[in-house]
Amino acid sequence: MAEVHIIGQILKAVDFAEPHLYCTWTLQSGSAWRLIQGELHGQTHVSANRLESCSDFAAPLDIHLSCAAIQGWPTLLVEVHAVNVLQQSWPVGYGFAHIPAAPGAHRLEINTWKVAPNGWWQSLRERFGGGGASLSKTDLLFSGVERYKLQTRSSGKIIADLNLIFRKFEEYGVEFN
Amino acid sequence: MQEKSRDTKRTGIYRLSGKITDLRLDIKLRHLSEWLPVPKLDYCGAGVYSTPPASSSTNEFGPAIWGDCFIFVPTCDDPIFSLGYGKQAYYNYYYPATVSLSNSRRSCSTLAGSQGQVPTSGSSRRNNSTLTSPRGRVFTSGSSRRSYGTLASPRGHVEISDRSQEPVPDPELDQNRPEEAETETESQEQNKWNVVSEASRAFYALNKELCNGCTANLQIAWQQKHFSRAELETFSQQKHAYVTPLQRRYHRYAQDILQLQQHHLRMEEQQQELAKEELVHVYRKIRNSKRWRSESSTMSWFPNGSNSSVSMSQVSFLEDPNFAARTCLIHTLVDADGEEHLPTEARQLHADGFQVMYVYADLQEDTLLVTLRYSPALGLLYVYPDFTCSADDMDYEVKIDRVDDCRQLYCYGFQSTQPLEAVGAEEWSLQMEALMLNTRNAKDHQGKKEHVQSNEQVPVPANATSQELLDYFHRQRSLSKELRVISNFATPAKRMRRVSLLLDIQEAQHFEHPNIHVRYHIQPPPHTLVETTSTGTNPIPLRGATSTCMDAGDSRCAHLAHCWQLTLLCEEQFDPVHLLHIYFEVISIDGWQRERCEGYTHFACSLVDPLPPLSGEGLRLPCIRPMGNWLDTLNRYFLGGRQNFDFVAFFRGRSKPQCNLYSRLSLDTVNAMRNTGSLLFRIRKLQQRQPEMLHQLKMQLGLNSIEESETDKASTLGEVIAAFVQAKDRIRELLGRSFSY
Repeated sequence: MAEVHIIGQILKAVDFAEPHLYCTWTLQSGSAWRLIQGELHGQTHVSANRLESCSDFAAPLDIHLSCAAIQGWPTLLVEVHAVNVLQQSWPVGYGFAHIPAAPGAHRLEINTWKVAPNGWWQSLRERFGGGGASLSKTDLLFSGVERYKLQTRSSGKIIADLNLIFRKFEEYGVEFN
Repeated sequence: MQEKSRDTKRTGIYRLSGKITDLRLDIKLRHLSEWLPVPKLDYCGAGVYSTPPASSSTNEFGPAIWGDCFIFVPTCDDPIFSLGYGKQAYYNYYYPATVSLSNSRRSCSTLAGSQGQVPTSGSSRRNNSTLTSPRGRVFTSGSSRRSYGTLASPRGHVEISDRSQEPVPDPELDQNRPEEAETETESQEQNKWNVVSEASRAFYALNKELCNGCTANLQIAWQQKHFSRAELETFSQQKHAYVTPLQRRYHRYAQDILQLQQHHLRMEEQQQELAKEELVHVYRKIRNSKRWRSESSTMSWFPNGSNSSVSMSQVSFLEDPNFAARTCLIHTLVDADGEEHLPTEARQLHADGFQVMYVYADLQEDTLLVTLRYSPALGLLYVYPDFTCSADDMDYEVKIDRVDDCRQLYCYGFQSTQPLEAVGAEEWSLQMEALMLNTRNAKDHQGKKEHVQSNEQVPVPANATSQELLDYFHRQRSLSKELRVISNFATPAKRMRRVSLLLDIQEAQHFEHPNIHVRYHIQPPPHTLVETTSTGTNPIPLRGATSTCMDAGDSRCAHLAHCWQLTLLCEEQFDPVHLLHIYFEVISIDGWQRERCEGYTHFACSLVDPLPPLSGEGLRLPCIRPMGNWLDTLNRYFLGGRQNFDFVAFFRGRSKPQCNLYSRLSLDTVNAMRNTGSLLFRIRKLQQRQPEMLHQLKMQLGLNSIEESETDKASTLGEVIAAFVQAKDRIRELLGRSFSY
């Protein structure tokens, strides 16, 4: 089976309004993909920077996957959470991007969004009480047909550096272009 | 379109230390999600000026508030539109058919009379099967006594179809005002479960807990019988109808289940009477918040972070964690049922000395969840699919896909209550099956030659212990590793190529109004097939919409971050000249839920040639929209709505000269286009050809040059021509890569 090494780091989160952030990430792929070594889920530490809206994570990624088909190409799903002084946390950004389909070094800029508050009362709660709306079912992140009924707001960006190594794909006639 | 799926479940093999009768399975099943069905509307070939007026479409699809919105139907004669789900169907998604659905829900959810047949799923295999009674009579699933399954009456269904066809409201409905509050509340419940067809209505009535997000739990012992609904009907007749001890025992089980159901019905009625006042209160609350119903169903307020957004107090009066046994949702087929009721493979497994057990779930159609077989001689238990780490994991998915109905996705998991010792991997189980097959061949063919041949393939004595067998196959596995690796990877069929596109709509900006979303529509070139995987995130990858980005899209950047994968199989007749077209339409929705078109854009690429160099980083696609005259501008500002603009024909340069259409060369400002915002779009491409399998095999087997030349002679003329075409394509690609960019 062909193999993919994903080596890199989740570098930083930029342009978020909240000062204290951490990021959870998940690598999702199709049913023909298997994890050989590494972790498919992870979470960074809480990073804060009040001078500029940039939180550095530098969380390492080292994933070794094998695949039996090119369908279900892996997708990096990131969820950015904010933390307040009461140690409450709530999601402030969902974003996902395909792992690039070419070997070498890549910089991914993942735009994120958050769920828009559902009325003025929730806006008030979000502004003063902390917290925000979250998706109750994460498969809503991926369903494509009626997505426009999901109301979101733009959030910041996650920047990730990835180095990709592909192995044995040429034996199965796969070309990247 | 052709859909292909992949099965990656594997068989687990376990060695039992104790008795097989001590085996207990904890199985859990829950409803995961659903997709709305694509309405089957025939594309009527509407032109730009022959589109039906907006008033007729609003009467059909929604209330009068949509009167100022037009439904756009592109002028296009491509085969994609002539299929069942054309673009017209896609654009009609926005208009909720609330009136007819609420009527039908109301009638179907009413508790009905005691007579009637259970409206179970029509296409299920075993529900249709008849079970022969001991006295020679044939009992079907319908019976005259009251059963738990008669919650949804056939009379109710007749009323549904009548009402949905008649425009005049039924006078009975107006007379039954006191019932209105209850039934309306039930119809509110069912918003969580899109009840579209009659089969799904019946299914909802029978499995309310499952449909409303509860997890079905059941513990199953080895060879323990759990009835399906049809079997429950069969074995709940009068006691004297059964002769054999097994039938009497099944009759006793059936009586227990019926008592459980009657008890639950009584409890539910009592609860309904007690909670009537509270129900009316709930109903009013729901009606007040009706406007936000769709949003509230898709999200929950943090930190109420449960997996389901459904409040149980609104959907079920009695919370019963063990509803699966009562509703006969999960049922089993065991050896005692006889081979005529078991699947056909069971006969052979019995001949091989296995004990078998099948676990089914009645999810609108009978679905096989688990297959268990136990070999008493080897002491091994085979489980397909393998146990999940915990029953709560629910790693396995079941997709129920029915014509004209919602596509439902369930997940389930199961574990053994006692720890088992795993002895095999997937390959071993395959080899064990090969062993059984060979032993069977040796039994069937008594001839000496075949017997010797089978001994050559399996050089182990017939009375070998299980450990010897496992050791043997462990050695075999290492020998055959390379060949298996080659055959494992999914490759396209001969002379076909697979093209996989990774598409990503990143962001949009500089449009006139905020609250935008993007709808896309992909038109693949002819002679291509769309491949979808069984665990695909998007059931229809050719069309879709991004989420609506509130308060962004004008001067503020709207982060859409929508990515999906599209895999196409190019047939032999595919011509690389034909391009893949992707059409984007940016739409804003204002506070009164009126849509305005903010811009159209288009991207076309060849499936064979390399993509533009910056496509992996992001292409900024400029959007345009018709400028229109002053009246259109006023309409757009005050009323909103979307114009009839055939952007597919516009981008493909197919505007008809006799129509006064939008032309890029027209000097008339009425027909001119204007720039709006831009869209950041990213596309990456993967191609897969049939690898030269023969060459690889030669390399690995180390054949010498003489054998190679013999093999080359054996290649057919068709293979030579295919190799020539492939080489020509590659040369053309290389030339295109060096000169085009």
